[in-house]
Amino acid sequence: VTIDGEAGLTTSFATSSFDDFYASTARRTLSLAHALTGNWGDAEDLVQDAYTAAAKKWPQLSTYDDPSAWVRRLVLNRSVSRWRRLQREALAVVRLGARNEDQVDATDPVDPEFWTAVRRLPAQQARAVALFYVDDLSVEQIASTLGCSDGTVKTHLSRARATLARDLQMEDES
Amino acid sequence: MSDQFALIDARGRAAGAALRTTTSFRALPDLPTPKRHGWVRPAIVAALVIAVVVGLVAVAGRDAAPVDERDPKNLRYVVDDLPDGWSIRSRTDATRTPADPIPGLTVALYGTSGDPTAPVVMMRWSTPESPNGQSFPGMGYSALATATEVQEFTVGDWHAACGTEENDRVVCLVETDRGFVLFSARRLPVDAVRTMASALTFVGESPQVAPESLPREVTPLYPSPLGQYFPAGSPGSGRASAVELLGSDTASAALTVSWADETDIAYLGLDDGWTATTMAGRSVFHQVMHADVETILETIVWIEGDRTFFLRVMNAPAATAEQLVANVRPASDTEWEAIHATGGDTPITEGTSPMGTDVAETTPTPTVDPSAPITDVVVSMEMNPLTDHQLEVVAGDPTSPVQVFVSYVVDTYSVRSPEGGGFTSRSPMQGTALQFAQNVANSGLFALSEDPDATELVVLVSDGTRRHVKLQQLFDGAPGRFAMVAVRWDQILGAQVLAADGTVLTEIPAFG
Repeated sequence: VTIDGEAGLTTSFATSSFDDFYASTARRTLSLAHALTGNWGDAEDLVQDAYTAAAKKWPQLSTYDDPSAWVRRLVLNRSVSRWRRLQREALAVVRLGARNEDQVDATDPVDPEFWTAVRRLPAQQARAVALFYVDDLSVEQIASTLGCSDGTVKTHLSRARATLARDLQMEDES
Repeated sequence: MSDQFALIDARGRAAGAALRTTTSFRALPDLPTPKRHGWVRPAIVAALVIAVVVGLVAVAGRDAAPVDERDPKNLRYVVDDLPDGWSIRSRTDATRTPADPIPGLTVALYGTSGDPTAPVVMMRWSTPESPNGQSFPGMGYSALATATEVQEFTVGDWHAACGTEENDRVVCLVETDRGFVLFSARRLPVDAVRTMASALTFVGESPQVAPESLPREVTPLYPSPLGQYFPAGSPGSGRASAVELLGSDTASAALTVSWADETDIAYLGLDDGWTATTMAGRSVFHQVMHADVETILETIVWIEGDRTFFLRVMNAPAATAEQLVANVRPASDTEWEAIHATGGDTPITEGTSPMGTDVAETTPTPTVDPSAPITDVVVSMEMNPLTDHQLEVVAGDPTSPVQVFVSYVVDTYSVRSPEGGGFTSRSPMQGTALQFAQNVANSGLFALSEDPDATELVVLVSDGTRRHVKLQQLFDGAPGRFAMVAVRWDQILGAQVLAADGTVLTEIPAFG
């Protein structure tokens, strides 16, 4: 069983240790978690939780074609609670009349405005966008990760990008 | 992807690449890997085995029955002197090995041992590692769908909600970062259950409530610590032998016998309507439920010696249940073997879908005469608000209307048929749900969608009609819209949800 790890590495997880798996995939998972949570503390907590769970199941996971997909799915699932809390907080800020730029998360490393807009999307759209831009996954891979059809992913991506283009005032003139 | 979003794609890819680059320079979080030696895991297993054995011995001791007498054959009972027109239809044997626990679902019960009329609370936890990473049906905010009032609050960082149902059932739900924890209670005020839910913590891998936060009226019954629980009388437990009895007309009964466990009796208290009484000289708990005007279900439960007897009687004349109770006796090997066996070591599955094979095999595939003209009919649908988060939908039909209850509680849609069965979906939804209301006799097909383009539900029926109904907004502030057509499921040839321009957004299974 081989899969492409990060930086073009090819890893045989069936014969490798969990430590190898963690070292080769965790940073990309951390990027995904950060895209969805907007801060390193929450992202690292999610990654830590997910890989701790993966370590316990490693004898089983190591036989999977892509054990990182299992971890990715766990991170997406567990981000829901944090997601809902962030949305409620964001809503409260809006009710209090805070200005839009106050909601930009200063911990985003590059283009915080973009990631803040992503995190305002409905959760499933945000997940699809994060998997698309951060993880570079194909529509088919995103569909597999989210457990929905290719068509649904395309719909999520299309609507998400339309919303992002509008919110970020980047609509193409064409 | 399309050129339409070229600018946003370029920005997104650049932002993604920058995020990955930044992450590549960060230290990875340390994992709290337990330092296990080779003998530790076997030791844990051995400890668990010892604990289970100790538990079994304790239970056996309490029941005053030696372990070696717990042969499933000793749970074989029949009913003598059946009323006129009654017969024994089938039997099911208990197994030595009860059914496997459900992975990803754990249960704790708090109440009064042996008393289904006392206050009781059940706590269930649907772990993130449940099958497919999904919560179990009902283990989400849809559990509050029929609550007349819902209070939202927080437990630390966790979101939580409690509600009370008309029949005095209290439901509280805590959305922890390790999955939903659901509290279902009877005969307790909502504040007491909310206090209990508010004290929820995780100790190791298990959700727990400190004893001082439990309502005064209950004590922990099962398990300690948290584990799996199958009430013995429930199908699928593998812990009970059963005989099924058939009476005249629609009358029937089932006698289920398991090893005595007073926790089973307390568990029954999660239903209402129990009374303590005497029947055929036996002290029993008795419950009468009217499933509808014509269906009456009586349940009689009693413990005798080291066995628990559950007798469920449906649609029988008043004195029948008592007559059956009076004539329960052990079965001989010969007469037991003579009864048609069902199930055996295979646990019975509770509930069957109207789409199940047992129905489908006897129902011809619906067809429509290809030469006959299709008639388009606009059908009616009424939405009647019941509460601010629940409404009744009645879909009209040339023969009979269909009713469902639709709710939207804490971002979760729920569609429930009065006869049982249902559907839930968390908002935002993935596309459009096109589902059957779970009701064979008088079924409907509904569409629930958050897709702003979804406009109309169209159903082609085997009578040659094509029935149209517009999707309607469900609740203020909720993006979901709903439509339903009243038609038997076995008469539907196909269905589509259309956009205003006729684009097909969803369809099943084919549309002629």
